[in-house]
Amino acid sequence: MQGTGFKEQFAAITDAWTLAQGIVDTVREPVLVLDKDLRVIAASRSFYSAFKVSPEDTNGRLLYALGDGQWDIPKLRVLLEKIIPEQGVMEGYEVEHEFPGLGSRTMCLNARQVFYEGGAGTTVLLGMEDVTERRILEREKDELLREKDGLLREKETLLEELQHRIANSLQIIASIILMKARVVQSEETRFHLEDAHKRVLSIAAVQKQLHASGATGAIAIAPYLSKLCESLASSMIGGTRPISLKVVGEGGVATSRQAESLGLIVTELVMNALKHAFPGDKTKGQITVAYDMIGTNWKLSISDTGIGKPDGGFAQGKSGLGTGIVKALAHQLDAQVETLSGPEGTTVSITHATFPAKAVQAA
Amino acid sequence: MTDILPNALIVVVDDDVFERMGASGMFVDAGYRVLEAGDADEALRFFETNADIRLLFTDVSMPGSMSGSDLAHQVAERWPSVGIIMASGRPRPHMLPLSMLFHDKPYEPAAVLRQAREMTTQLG
Repeated sequence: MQGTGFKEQFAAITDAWTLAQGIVDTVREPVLVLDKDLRVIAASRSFYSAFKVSPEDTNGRLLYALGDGQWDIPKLRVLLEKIIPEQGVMEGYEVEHEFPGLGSRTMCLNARQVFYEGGAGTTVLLGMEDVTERRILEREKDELLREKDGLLREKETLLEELQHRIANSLQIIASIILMKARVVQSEETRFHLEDAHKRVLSIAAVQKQLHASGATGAIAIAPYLSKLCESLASSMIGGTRPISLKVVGEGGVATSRQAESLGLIVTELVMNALKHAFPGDKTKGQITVAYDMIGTNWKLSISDTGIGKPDGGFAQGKSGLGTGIVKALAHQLDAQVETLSGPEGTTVSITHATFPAKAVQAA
Repeated sequence: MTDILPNALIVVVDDDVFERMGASGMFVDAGYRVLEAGDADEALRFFETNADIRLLFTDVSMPGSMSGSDLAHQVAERWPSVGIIMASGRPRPHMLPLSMLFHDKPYEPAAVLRQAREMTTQLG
């Protein structure tokens, strides 16, 4: 301190004090500066306003005696008398306490011990943040999240149960139709009943795959059709006929309603090809399901390497229902049905195009 | 239908009477002999009193002390030569006997009959 006069030293100390008080006043959260006996040296403006006390009742008083002893909190004593002397710093120490006039509050306390060079005692800085509202909101949020999880689980269970009931009801319908088919005398009636039975199964297969693809929202067509064809192949072809069924194409997404129609068309046409395109049980063959999408336009095609039909139409059963069903479903999808048949086999295309069909052919 | 009828004895288990009748009619038409049970306990009694049962065709969720899965486990352990085919409207249960086959309901009768024939003719 040589060459420095008392006046300058005094000015420096005053400046430092002003700066310190300025900092304490500026922070938004209430802050107390305590001496080693936990007597208040300074308090921030936010402390006075938050706890509705005046500087006269605060400065120079013992912390535990402030505001009728509202700071005489066992957990705070532990912090200031044990933790801080041992560790020097403590952050995020939460205390729940009933403050007269404020009610029950949750305070997040930050405390720090400051040593001075001259060893002239220590100072403790105590910051307090009222986190009551935040904690309440967090608890409410947690509760809502738990409630949401519960509802989602409940929804899952209900959907599973519903799917189970649909599957069982379809099984009952299928069983009754087959029982009827067994007892009727007329060949024709039996044929129609067996045909109806197949349709129940195809609706069930589509239902099941739709359910597996998620009940709502967009359905990814490629995996959906692949799974559907896998199940068709295992139930309709099995290991008995040398026919393979594959799904190709880029795929795309559709609503579950569109996916249902697409699935029923695929089922109908695959069943149709299996029935008519490959006579006998030994004929080798390939059925290919393709789905491609460009923007809002898409094309679904089912082609086989079978015998084709001389009249150029797609082969159909005695009931003639297949054609009608495919046309109706295509109409529902706002799409056109086109059939090409020759000695190389049959291809049925279902095309949804927002531009004129002629432009597609020209391209 | 082939000339040689399978003729083997099958136990059909389902708590729904229509589904049970449908399944048993399917097997009878294919030439099998069928014992019908409305729950797993009843089915187990059939196995305990008939040594010549060759196939179990069972539902999964049923009333009574045992589910179809429990029944399948018991049968697989106590009568290992019996073929087991399971059909359910629910997803395939976990932890089923290895040799067992599973079908979603509604099942394709032709596929079930094909497997039944394979299972009942395997061991002569």
